[in-house]
Amino acid sequence: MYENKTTGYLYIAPFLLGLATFTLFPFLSSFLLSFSDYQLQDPVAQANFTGLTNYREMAADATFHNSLWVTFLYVFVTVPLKLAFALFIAFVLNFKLRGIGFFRTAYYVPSILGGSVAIAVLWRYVFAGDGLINQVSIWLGGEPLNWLGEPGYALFTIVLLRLWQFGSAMVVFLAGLQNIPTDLYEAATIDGASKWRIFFTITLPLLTPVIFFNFIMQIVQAFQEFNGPYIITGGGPLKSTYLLPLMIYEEAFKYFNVGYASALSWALFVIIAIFTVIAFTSAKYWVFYGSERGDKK
Amino acid sequence: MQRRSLLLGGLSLAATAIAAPAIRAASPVNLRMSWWGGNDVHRAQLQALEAFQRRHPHIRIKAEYTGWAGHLERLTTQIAGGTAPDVMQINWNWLRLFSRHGDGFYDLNRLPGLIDLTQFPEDAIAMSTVEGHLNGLPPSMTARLFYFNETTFSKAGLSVPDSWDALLAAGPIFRDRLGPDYFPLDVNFQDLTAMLYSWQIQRRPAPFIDEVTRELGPDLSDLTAMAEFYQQLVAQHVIPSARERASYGNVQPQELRPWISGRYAGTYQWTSSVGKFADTLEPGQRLTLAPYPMLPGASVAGLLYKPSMMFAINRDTPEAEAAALLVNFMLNDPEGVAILGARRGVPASRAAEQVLAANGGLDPLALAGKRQVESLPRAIHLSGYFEHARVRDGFNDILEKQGYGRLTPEQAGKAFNREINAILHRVIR
Repeated sequence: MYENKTTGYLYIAPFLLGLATFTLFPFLSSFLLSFSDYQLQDPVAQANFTGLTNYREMAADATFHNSLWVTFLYVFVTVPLKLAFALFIAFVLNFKLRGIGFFRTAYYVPSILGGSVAIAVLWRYVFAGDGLINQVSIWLGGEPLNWLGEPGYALFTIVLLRLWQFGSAMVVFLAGLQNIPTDLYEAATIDGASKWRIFFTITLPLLTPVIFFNFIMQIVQAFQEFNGPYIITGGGPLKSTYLLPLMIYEEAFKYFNVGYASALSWALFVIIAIFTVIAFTSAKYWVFYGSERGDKK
Repeated sequence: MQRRSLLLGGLSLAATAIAAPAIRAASPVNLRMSWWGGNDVHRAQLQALEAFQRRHPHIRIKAEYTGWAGHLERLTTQIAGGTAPDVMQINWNWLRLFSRHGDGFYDLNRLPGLIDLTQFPEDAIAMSTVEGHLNGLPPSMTARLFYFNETTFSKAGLSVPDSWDALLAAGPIFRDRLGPDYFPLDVNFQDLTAMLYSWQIQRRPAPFIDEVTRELGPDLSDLTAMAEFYQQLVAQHVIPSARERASYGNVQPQELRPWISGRYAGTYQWTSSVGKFADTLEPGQRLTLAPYPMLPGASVAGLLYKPSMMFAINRDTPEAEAAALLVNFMLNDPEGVAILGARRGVPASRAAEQVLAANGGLDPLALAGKRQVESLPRAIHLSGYFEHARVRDGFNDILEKQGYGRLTPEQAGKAFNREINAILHRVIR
């Protein structure tokens, strides 16, 4: 028995080592550094303990306030849109149609490509003043828009880049849809329920655990968006796409102000944690698990 | 041919004499050298290291090379962690980061006879020295100059501008003769700040940043005048508006389609970088160096003139002599110089320039730039803090707000005065 335990620990040792080195250590270090004036170019030993100075500075920092506002705007627009879009496509792909396997694969491709550097660069060219979108718009008789140069539109292009990666959420929705017992639909149809009624009273309630899971995943990812603003707009124009992760990166690796960047990171962590707690706390009011229906023995 | 052979022979002898101490000391030595660059630089640098190791078989060099992106972050981490390479390519403004008091890198003055310092111009040595410590040596010096697309200017019926007035006059002519998408000059906010710096120094020849008071040299009226000049450049159709410029996203200026096609017909660029601007132009277009514009009565050009980059030695290296031999090989030795060519700009070392001039390794555009810089009055030295990321971004943000109409020139002048001075107080320690 003892030997088995040892073997088990040995198997998970690489993971634990990785977790300790690459997650726990930076996690705790950043917390300590957030109370210091540590500059990246200096030895850590030269850093001074500054108490809550970084957090106080944050409270008065207009750039941080703007960045926070832009980040919230981005998250609150992106997450509902992405979930709705992913659910819609999953719903359509759940029909038993000829060649549906091909379409399921095709719609997942953007998620494989993701928001990588290459895709972000492509996005930048597509939405540029003389890019594909405007050329098509002109060809159709429309007016070109300054997608990347107008503060009002620039964030929208970053939102679209996130929406384009709807595949992973869609796959989870699709799995959820396929798990809904068909007898419920048959009973509802016999009772004369309309398609909309079936969707809102059967599909959606039974899908809430999946919606909840996707919501948590998407909100965490959205708060951490970096590639889009970094590559497409550089945070501009007028800092309209200056999301918090980009600000953290620039504070740490452009200005070398690691103490302040660590404090910003912890602010972001706390914000994500608050949203996650709210989601979990509210789950009992809107997430419906099968077991609550009494069908789980 | 004979003259060239004699020259190369003489330089080889000089290099051999400098290298002599290392040849005598034959115990094995391991060095690490890091640099950033493109594939062309990597290939040449690796060849140069091989040649150096052939000449000094007891020295082994581990090459650590990357592209530009992330290089500073990597080096910063290495320096902070005490694992920096023995020889490093650094940027001149990094001296302000890593060696505020001159003790961040090995003082090359402590290695007499190993590096031929006499080959370098005085200002190159002066700008590489911090509080009396020679922190590195530049492969080349660089300055921002005006380069124009001669083909587009010909199409507009103009010759390239040779004064500020000619530049301002070119804007409306471009608009009227070529169309609203054509501009005589393209500058991003960083280039624009540099251009306004030069213009201001010509108006009032005094240091732009006073490192003692930790404030900007120009007063409020000067700073407002700079903002007004920006306004004038946009209004006169000399440069694209902030909105038009931003419509292409976060893209390098030489990769902008209007630059490639010649619609943006000028740049205010470093002599060490202009090659890549010439390279991206569509075939049939010609980039040319323009006479540097001077305000009437100006006594200095207000050039942004600095080492393009530097080779520095780790202050804690146990192999400083071998590292110095390597630096000398790359900067002064005929063999090293011939292999590296002018990939890092027209050499600052006179010996190196002679070698490349003799073997035809100098790009005419780059050489013309160097000659122009040498001919211009440049009494005012650039402060390294002008290139500090926070200072640079401070100017960018204010100019961007002005460009988008959020600030009037008067408000922008006040913002320079208030915000940049606050930044300077923070970064100059």
